[in-house]
Amino acid sequence: MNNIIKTLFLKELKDFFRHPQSLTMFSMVLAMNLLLSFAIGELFVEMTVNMSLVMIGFYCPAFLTTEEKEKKTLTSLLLTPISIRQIILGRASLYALVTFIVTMGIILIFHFKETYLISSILTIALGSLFFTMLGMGVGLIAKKQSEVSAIGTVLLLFMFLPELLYGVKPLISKVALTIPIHHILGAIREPFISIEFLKYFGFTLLFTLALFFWVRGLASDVLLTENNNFKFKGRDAIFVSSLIVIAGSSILLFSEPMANIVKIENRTYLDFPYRSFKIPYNEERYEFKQKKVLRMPLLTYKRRDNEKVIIRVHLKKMSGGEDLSFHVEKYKEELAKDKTLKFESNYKIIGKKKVSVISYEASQSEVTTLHFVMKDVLIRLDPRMKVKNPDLYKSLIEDSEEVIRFWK
Amino acid sequence: MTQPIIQISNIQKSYGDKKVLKGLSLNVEEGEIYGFLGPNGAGKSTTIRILIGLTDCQSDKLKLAGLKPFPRNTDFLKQVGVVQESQNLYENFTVFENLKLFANLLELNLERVSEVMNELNLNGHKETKAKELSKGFKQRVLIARAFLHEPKILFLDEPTSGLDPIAADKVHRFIKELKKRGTTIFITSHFMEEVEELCDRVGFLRDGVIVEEGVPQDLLQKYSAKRLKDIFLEIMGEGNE
Repeated sequence: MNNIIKTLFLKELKDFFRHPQSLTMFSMVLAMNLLLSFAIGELFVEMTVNMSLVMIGFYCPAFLTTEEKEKKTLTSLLLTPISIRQIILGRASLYALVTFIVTMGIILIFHFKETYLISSILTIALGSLFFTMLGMGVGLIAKKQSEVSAIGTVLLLFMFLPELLYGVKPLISKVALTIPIHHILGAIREPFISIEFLKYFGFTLLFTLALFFWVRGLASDVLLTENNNFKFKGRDAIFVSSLIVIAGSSILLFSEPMANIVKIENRTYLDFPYRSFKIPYNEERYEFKQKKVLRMPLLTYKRRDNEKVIIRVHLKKMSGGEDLSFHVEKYKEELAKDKTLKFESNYKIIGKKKVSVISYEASQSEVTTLHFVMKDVLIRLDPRMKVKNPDLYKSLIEDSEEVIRFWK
Repeated sequence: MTQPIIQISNIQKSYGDKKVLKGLSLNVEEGEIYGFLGPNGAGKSTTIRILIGLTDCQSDKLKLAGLKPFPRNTDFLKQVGVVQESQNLYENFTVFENLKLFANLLELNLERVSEVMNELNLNGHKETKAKELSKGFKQRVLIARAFLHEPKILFLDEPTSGLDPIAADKVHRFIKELKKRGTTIFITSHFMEEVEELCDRVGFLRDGVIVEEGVPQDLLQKYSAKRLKDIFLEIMGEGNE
């Protein structure tokens, strides 16, 4: 059995390097990542890893499977004494490996500081297998390669957008929780030995297993049908039901409640039950709003006496190798690119925390940004204001510092 | 007396409401070349898919080399070789790579590939990619591929369709050579001259049943016809207008 899979693996490898579509997808992922890294500077893991998983992991096996179906070369394999499982594993092993190597390369080059290595290796290996199986499934269903392109485009958007817009609206967050890319991207950002990692990895595994059994059955159904056409059968209904159950469980398990407003001894606090901390909230002076951006809470305090004055606190999870100065330096580099800005930066201690204060002046506005780090959380405090009124500015800084002081 | 190598009795197959095979029965003896003839849409391809285990059906009896073809099983697949009408070679692979792939899947050694390449005179194009081959040459590679494991039964679906007379002749000679070695061959073809030249027995399929069957010479006498084509037209003519 191993020899057969090895033979099929080598066949796929040869085909990959001689196939224009595979090579195009492969080059596109590399070129787009390089181009984006030059153009944007900082790449989102939501974008780069997603692109690699979908474009190589999904598209390549999907295109090749449909092509083999169209040209009936898959049928020629079926007429040899090898099992359908071996045919699937032979193809999946090559594409999962290529996807794994490219995606890990991207993680190591662009996202090393924000991810964990062992978590990434395990999750990307499984994620690559998931997308390869998905590609083969779609390749088996599609009648022509143009259908693969159409399905792939929708899939790319479906994988990409909810994850990028996660937290903007509750509904979008819920949709994002049902898509395995959410769990893959979650797992690589958690330490290997942690409950969070196990949760994310477990769901990726469930999705992959469901898909594997479905594709295996689907291959038998489609390839052993006249004209290799797909017809929805009981097996497909079981697969769809299992996906709904897994996705539903994910929504229940991963939906993080937002902060609650609680009153303790006549003071109002924002209570984050899932993170075990509270921060003060001056209800008389501010109107409070919250949403999630890139999975982490973005808290907005808007002054009731001046709507243009707001404090934004965006929590960013820090991985092991990161520290505050890394982010401050990175931010300063960005600011330095704009020659019209004059900026100053220094560190100061608020409560027990070392806080970086960066202020800068521009012709249109003046912005003061305070950074501080707490445990594994980087908080960026961004009181954006038109500083016509020094008293207002002072009270705003005081409020910001109070928030910092209360952060446990 | 030995059992026929292909035994089919009362095969029924429907797609939705459409009945494609309505009680097809035929036997093929070991070492025989059997011509399976019929117009487009008569059910030839479906029958071949059933015989090679790619499709299920209802039947009273369905055994090839003593084995049931469906569900797919490796013992059965070791006994049969198939050349399908679509020239399904891996186009980006060379002739040698195509044959080597299947030799590996059939767990044969590479000497067998060289042997078969010699037999079919493929050595001159060993390193040529399949997409650069002529149709006739591709057909020879396909036959080589189907014959790698020396199957007991060889299915040839339209083996000379689209080939020029020289290429077709080469294919015919190899089919005759295989017969000498005792291989049972099941051929579908639209070329009646080819069938007349090659086949020991022929069966005419119309509307999902065999309507006539026999040795070509006997049939020519029975229908007082000069060519098999006339018999084909007489049997199929009006029913398939």
